[in-house]
Amino acid sequence: MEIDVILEPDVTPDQLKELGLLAERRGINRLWIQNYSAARDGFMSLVPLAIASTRLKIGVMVVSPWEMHPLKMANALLTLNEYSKGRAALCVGGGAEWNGVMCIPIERRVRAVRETTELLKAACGDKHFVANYQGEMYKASRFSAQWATDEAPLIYAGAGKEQMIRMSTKKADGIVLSDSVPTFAAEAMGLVRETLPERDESVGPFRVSNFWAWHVKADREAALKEARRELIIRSWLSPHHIKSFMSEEDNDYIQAKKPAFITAYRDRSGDIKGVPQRIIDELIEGISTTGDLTEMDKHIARLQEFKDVGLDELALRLHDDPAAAIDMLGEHVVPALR
Amino acid sequence: MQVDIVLESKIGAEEFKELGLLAESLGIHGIWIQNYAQAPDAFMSAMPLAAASREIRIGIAVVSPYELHPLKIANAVLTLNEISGGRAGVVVAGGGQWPDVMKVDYGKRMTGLREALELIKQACSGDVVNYDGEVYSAQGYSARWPTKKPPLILAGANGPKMLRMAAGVADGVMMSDVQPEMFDWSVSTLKGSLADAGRADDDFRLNNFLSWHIKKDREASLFESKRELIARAWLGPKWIKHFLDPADVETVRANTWSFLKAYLDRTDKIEGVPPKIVEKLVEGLTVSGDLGDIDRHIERLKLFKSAGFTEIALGLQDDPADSIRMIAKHVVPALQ
Repeated sequence: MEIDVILEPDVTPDQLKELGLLAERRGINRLWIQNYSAARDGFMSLVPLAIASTRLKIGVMVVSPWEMHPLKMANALLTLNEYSKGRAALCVGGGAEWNGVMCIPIERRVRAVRETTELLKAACGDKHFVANYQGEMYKASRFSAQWATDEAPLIYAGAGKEQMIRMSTKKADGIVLSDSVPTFAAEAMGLVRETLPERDESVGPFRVSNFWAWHVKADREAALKEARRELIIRSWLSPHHIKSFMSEEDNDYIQAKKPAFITAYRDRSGDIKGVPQRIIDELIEGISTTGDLTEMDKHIARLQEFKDVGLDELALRLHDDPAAAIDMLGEHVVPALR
Repeated sequence: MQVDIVLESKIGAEEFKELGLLAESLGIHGIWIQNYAQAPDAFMSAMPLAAASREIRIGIAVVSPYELHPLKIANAVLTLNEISGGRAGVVVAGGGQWPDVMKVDYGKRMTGLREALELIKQACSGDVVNYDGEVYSAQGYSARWPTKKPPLILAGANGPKMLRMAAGVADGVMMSDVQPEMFDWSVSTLKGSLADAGRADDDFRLNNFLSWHIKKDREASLFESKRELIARAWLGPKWIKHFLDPADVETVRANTWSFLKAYLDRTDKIEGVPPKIVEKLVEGLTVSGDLGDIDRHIERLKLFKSAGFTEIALGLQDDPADSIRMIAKHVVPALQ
């Protein structure tokens, strides 16, 4: 199983380049940058790293067709792929934060991602040409990117539920699950395996990854504070995501207390007021990898569960001091999970 | 009047950086990268130059809100502006190549462009953006990370309605292929609109794209300018009527496909159009010829300065490094 890292473009493109080159030296497979409206453009931020690196794969996640027409996505992805000499990827999603700031409602999510994936695969394929595409949601006429010369970039879909997983398994190069605990990852792999026979062979090999929060630090208290602070963005603590390790009663309680988690994220305090410590500890333990270096064997054993259920890649979301996290992953995790 | 150059993004990020650094070292004011559907992404291609340069202004021309939501345009130009230390700009216009390949409907074009400019300006100001327009809306967009002065937001405009709208909302205007013969409907309209908007004394930027084809080899120059003629405002009657009699205008309009074919085939052979008509268009709509023609072209460029243009953007094609050196040596000092 390959280890990827995920960063937010709250770092400058120059810092991103340095972190990426460190990741490359440490044997990380791919560096993903997240796409948020409150941060720099992800595609643009990766350009200096794309040019400076030689082996590290790079990618942008998650971009939805509501914020960017599939052909504009294709053009940006092909540009990144060309500047990185064939090492770029994109994870397409069904809409999130950008929709909110643009006031664009999300409708027919699976259809939108399907048409986007079809268009991206055609535009980024061998011919780099889309003569005519008449989707229900997106259209294209005489798009040509014949300036692109490198091996085609990879198109992942952000998928978590059955319909999206099945569609993506047929159409995309891979899927990225989000905050899926090993039991959910196993269920997703079951859906993938069921659907793979329907996949057109010409689409190529299929990969499954999972977005997973990494909060391991030399200082255990700092790790726990970071994990508490970021808990709400673990798939918005949806009942679906936490039901496998939280009781129904606790799950209901967490849903009612979400404002406390949001406040801890927004004020960057990590202080989840009014929620019992037991529940916070169980959430952190269940939906992230958090702790200090003395627990590294336990952390690796947990990540090994993802490999055992069949994931090809694991994308670890880093937060504060990403350089230290990359060093740690390169020393301990990458060799253990190869 | 400052002198800018314009290049296409098809040359790629590395060459754009090298040419931009050359231009910077020779005193060129700004460099624009054109945004076409059949070339690498222009914003991304400008990043290495933005990081490596220190003085030259860097812009993207032109981006349509029909290809990218105004908040995405704002986010992209802010990203470029930040890495360049506050030297970025963008020209926003209603058309371009992208909407055609996307098969998107223009809808309320004038309203859409005005709202886009308003939204981009607000988003680049650092304020939280809440906007409820007819075409675009925004809620809670906030770019708190930029630290540099806001980028320049220009409107790509030629016609009276667009110019009047731009005068009210943009930091400036970039016209395209406007010649001194057209100042009555372009510059006059804009100046009147700025006065009406109470902005006559603002630092409003007025730029114009002109196609530069001067080369040591006169034949090579003419070959290039003829090949690219269709890109001169699509040879619209409003542009060509100043240089042709009405019958010749009809001939050109009836044969636009021949001009397009020459462009696509990368040839100077424009079938079905008499050479004398082509020569008049080259002379009227472009800056073409050899080194012996530079002085008369500079005299023509001085008319733009006299009319109030703050910048002139010279579009380069083949051998751009040679053109940059020539422009820096002859044109920049003459127009300062």
